Amino acid sequence: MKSHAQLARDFLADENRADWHNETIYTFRQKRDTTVASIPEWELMRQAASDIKDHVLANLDQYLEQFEANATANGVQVHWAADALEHNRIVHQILQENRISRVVKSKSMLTEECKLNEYLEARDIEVVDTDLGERIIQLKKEMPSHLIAPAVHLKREEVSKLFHQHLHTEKGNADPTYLTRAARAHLREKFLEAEAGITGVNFGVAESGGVVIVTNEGNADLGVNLAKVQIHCMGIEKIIPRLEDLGIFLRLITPGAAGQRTAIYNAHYHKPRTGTSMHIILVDNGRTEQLGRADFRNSLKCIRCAACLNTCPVYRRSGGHSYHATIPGPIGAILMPGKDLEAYGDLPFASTLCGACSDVCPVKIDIHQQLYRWRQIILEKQHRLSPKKLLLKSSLPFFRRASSLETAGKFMRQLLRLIPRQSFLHQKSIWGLHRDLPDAPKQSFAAWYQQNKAHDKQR
Amino acid sequence: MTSRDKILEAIRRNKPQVANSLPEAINFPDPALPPLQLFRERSLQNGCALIEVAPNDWQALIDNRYPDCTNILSLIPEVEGNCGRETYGDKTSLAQLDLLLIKADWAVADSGGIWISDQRLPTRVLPFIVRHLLVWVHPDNIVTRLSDLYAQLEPAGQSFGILIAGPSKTADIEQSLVIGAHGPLSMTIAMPAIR
Amino acid sequence: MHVGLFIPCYVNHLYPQTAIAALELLENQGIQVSYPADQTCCGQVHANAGMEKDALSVYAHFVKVFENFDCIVSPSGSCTAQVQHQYAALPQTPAVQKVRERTMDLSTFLQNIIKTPRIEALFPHKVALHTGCHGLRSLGLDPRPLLANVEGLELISLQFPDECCGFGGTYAITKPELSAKMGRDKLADCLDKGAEYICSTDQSCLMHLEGLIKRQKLPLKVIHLAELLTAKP
Repeated sequence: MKSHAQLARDFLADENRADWHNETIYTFRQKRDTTVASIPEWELMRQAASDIKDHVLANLDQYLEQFEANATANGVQVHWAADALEHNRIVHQILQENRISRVVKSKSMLTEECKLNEYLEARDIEVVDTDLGERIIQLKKEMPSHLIAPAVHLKREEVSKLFHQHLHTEKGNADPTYLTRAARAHLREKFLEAEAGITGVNFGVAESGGVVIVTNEGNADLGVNLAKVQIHCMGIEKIIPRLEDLGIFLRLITPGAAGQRTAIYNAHYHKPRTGTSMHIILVDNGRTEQLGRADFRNSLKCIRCAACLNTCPVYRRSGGHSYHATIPGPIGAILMPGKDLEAYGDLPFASTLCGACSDVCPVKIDIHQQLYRWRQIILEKQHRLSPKKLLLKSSLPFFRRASSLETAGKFMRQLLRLIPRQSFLHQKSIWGLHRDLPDAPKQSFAAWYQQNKAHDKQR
Repeated sequence: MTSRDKILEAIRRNKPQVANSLPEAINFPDPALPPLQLFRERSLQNGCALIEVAPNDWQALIDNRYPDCTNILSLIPEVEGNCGRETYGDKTSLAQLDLLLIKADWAVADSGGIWISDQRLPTRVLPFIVRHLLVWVHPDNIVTRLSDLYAQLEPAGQSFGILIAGPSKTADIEQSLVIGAHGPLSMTIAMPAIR
Repeated sequence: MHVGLFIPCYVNHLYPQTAIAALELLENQGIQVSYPADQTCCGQVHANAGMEKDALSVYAHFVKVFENFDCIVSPSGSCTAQVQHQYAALPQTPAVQKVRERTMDLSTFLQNIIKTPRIEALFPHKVALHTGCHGLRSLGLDPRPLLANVEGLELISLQFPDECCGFGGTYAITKPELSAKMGRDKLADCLDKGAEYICSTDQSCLMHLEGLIKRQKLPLKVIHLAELLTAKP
């Protein structure tokens, strides 16, 4: 498995494309900034949302029980899944019991996390992702590269080629309206054929026992409301206490993605339609473990709005796939190590710790501080003495003693001056490959001060 | 031990020991515009069309505005429509609906969205499956912001409700905005004509 | 008031002119300034690389060196943020608390403590300001009012004013391609807007940017805020 650093290097090899990606995503960020600036209560809502989520995490067991009781009273069947496999099994069992072989699914990072599609397809069930971006990457057999815009890494020509191949659109026609209409017609058929609709969940309301699903395309609602079985897959951290809390959260979730003041559809599902069944699957899959990590638990407040991705200078220039994870970007870099430290230990280092992510997070997750704290854990667990670690370790005594540091600095400056400019150090080292090394002054400030000022001061 | 018990037990073991209480309700600042004006502005921004209709003008309006709509389902008494109860249970008929006319329970000024609950919907898929959506909004039913809407809703006994803020849309292909993704291609807000 | 001048380790060794400018600027305010010779480093490089535990001894040394000053002033937003925030990892003795509270960036000291600083500088150039990320976000620095005191200076607005330059400490050497790309984009923004100089609150950003400028022979120069505020014809 390639690391983020290697994948980012691959991505940057096509610099024009990387620039295009950067500019595209930066536009999202600019739209977000404009919208947020026009909402005077933004900071009040951010604080309230953060407090509500903190409160929920500290009472999660009670809220889940309340949610379950109210949903059950509403006629909803509530299931609990400890991990991804159990989640997939439950979905499959519901489909089997209802003799269903065709399913439409709207965007859900949770089902990506659980790899539900692969599981169902292996059992001869057709799963069609209906969000346009999701459908594109499903046809292309790729992972989403962004939380809200899963196909943001693809150019229209690539989509055109893909649709020509799969949906028989005109060759070379890359007009987004034309392609979207073609997908609409293609997916309409799928909606009408499907016997079950699966969705993710943006919010589960404890006091009313319902789920809220946020979309722009209307695909979740078409899927769910045409099928005889509706299944909502929900991470246990998606709970909010009260219906009225939506008055804050629904206003915070959309600006981060592309500056929308509201989503087009905010659907509230509480009871099944007459003659149909409604299921909610509550999924843990590592969330309770993350809850136990005091330094990282507040990452569970995330509402998957994508603001941190859009603002991140590293994400924009390395692309979502460089994170080789279900959840990319800064939020992925603090969530994924909790799932598998070995596989995702590189992600907390995929940042300059610039802090832009924490600044825009609508629920005030201290993302860059968590990146910092993961680094501590990763280095601690790293038994192998990497060159970086060795260098840093061996330099420590110098940083505790000014005279040693002064001598070392003097030596380094001499070295810098003596080694020819055409040498490896200057041209091919990891610094020198892209940048000139600084000129080395003859004297340090400390030495200058000793010579010019210290005497005055002592007098 | 069931997964349910396992999960709840793990939460009890791992959750923070100290809990903060829920925050006080936010004292929102007044918006710059009165609700009606704000609602009009925001629904236009969302891509809706705004029209004013006098009680006797409905038929002319439908004829002029939707000349190519043959299958019309009306859930407002002023307009008859030509599709009825038989449509509801039949996916093929539903998919052929051109126009739905419906009354909103509430409208939210700040977002330009409208709220429709189960009581108004003989079948839930209607506002998503039609090609064009026309929503009747009475100015008395416009609340300032989302929190004011939820203040009107009773948590117990909710069944289904939808906030809609415009025609369906997507920008999943190179961020080019396309109006009309899977849901309606257009949405029109109709309000009473001011005489 | 007795101010302790805290000079980041790499500034001491590689950019003495920045430290001299900071000292001059402080002395011009008519206050007592000392540079404690036994200072070493704030420990940030080690901590950000994931070796906070090892860095604690460096933190402790810093506290010992600076605990008796009324104010600890540094020409670096990044090192200041490190002391203010990450020293929370130390046992919070009165000395540690005092040092964390009293350590501040040079621009903060001039703007918030001195309030109407004496600045006599002449710099007839087009300057783009790059406030380092830690200074910008962790400390909320905004040195623009200080630049208004500089005669002849024309402040250029960047298209991406708060974008990270890509230095990021060890990031610059562990992710050289991304780091360099971010830096080149920053420089392109400056050049697009017609800047002659890029001025920063952090010399570390400038070390990285200057390296890129020289390698690509770009018509752009770097200058630290302290040098700018003491620039003479």
